[in-house]
Amino acid sequence: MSGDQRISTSADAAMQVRDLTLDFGAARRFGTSRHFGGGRALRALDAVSIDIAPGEILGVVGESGSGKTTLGKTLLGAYRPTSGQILYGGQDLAALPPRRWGRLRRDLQMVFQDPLSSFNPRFTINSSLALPLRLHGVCAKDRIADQVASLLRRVGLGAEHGARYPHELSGGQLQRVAIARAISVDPRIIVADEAVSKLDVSVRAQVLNLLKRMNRETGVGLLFITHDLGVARFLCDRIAVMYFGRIVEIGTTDAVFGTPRHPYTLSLLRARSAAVATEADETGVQVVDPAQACNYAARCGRRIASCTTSRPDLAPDAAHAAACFVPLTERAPPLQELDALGQ
Amino acid sequence: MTPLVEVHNLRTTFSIGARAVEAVRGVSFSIAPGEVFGLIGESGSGKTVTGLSLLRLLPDHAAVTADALRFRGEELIALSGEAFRALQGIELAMIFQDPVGSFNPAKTVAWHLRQAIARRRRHSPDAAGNWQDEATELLRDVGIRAPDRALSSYPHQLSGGMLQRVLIAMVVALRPSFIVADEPTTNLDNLVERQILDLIRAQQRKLGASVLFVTHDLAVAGEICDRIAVMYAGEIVEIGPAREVLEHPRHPYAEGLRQTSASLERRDEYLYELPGEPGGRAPAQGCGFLARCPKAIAACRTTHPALIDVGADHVSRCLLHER
Repeated sequence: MSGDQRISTSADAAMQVRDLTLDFGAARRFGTSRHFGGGRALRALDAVSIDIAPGEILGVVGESGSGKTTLGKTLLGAYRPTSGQILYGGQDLAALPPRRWGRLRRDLQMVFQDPLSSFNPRFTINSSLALPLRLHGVCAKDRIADQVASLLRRVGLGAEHGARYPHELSGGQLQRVAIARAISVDPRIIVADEAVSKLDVSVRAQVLNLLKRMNRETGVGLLFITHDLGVARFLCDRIAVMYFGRIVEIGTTDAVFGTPRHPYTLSLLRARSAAVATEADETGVQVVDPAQACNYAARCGRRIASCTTSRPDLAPDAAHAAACFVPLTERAPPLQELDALGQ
Repeated sequence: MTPLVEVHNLRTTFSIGARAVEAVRGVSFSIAPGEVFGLIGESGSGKTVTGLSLLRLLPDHAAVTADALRFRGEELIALSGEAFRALQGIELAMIFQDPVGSFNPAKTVAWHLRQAIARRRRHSPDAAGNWQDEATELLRDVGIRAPDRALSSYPHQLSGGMLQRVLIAMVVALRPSFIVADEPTTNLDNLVERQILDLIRAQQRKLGASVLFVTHDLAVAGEICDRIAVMYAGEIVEIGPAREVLEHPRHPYAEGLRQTSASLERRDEYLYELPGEPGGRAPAQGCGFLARCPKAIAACRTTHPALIDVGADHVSRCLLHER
């Protein structure tokens, strides 16, 4: 895949990500604080490989700092990857400066966690929705007002909302507008980063239903980033679990939730329903050299000798895979094992 | 058993110029010694303002009135500012949602713990011994494995979960009998959230303290609370044993939330939705939930419902219960 000609993605993937790695230059950005690795680069993404199928909802779950938001932003060109490929539309986006993305930019849209800060406070909702239509030439100029009204209707809002300013709408209404803006240009993939986590519980259901409905109606693919496993289980076709910049498990939602194979996935699943560690376990930075060990080894109750001397890899094309030398196999693991997991 | 905290008809009004907004509209409840009492609701429901009203932590443009506001049988309303401050941060403590904002960024963890320890010792000159030993012990007690390193750290050098542990250690240092915890785990990851909930429970038992636990998260409330009050538009619409309120809610609002989470668990193709949005102003008459209620009848427009007994130690504010 080192040719510099047009690159063909396989027919059944809308986007293929291969060995995507992103280092943040710690020394330059953060001074020499030991808490940022004493001048070492911080590896935010570590050889991430995933395929996003057309029209699928792929969930990315993990704790804060796991790199899930960074992954979403990197796919949309907000960060320049250190190495690896993002194959989309016959191009390697990783090698293409975002200002040369051209039409591809339209295909990839984003919905952020905080809707209020993703709108210009001095624009009415109508103006904010008209902007991408005009920029991308989605429809004729004299049709833009109609198109905006129809977008608002599709997300369950009325013309009266369009004349308002962002601060005059509630969080749930504004997140609907953000979804309307994302779908307005007929994208292929929308990255939704914690799109419901700031919303009130009774509104969260409305926005989740809307995202699902948009996916079913338009066939747009979703990369849905969340820390909420219940929400991921409802919405997503497949789930990728991230831990410190690595994808440690990927598979269909049923497989990952029903028969988790990576010990970290299991501890995430058990977090809400069983007693896990009561001891603090957060140093903030990795202590082991990720190139030579499993980065979960320090917290893992199933650790064997090879976990600290070599790194388990993930088969990107398998239906259900875990980056683990001793993956879980039983459907219901014994309880003693569960207790050991959180240590 | 006499309740530790009794609140009768609490009303909190914010005045901005000529406008007045009543954020808490006649809230009454009591909390037994050693009880964890949950206050759940959406943004704007008045749950946080209720907690802040009890501890007198609201700004000057907020007017707090109540028929009674008793702590250990003592009336707090009549208490002068000075007398109340002697309780604040000793008997009455607070854990905020944002751990980072609860610390002075220019001071170390040790400095913060020293403040808390010194404050308690000024009021009850019990223990001798140096404060460093006590601080180390407190941090170890909240699950921090390297207390010496934590003590010399500045707040920005610790993760949110660690900071929340330190904050809990500071609260424990005061040995309060009543703690208001306002969304203490909302900004934390699931794994850490779980640990912090366990920690709050363990420390609360050890202190024998009562907790007013404010949260929007039903699952969290179910894990930590003994009883739960559900707030909507400034009023308590349902109070009962935690399990009852979450599993067999009676008020249409709480029932709607239960149906949503049930459809999430069943993995329905689409989730059950309550219509509308929270945060609208409550109507001058009738039921505060009217605009979003799937079960509303004509009388709901004109009659303000009272809390009605719907089970053992379980009340709900809905006209339909009378029929």
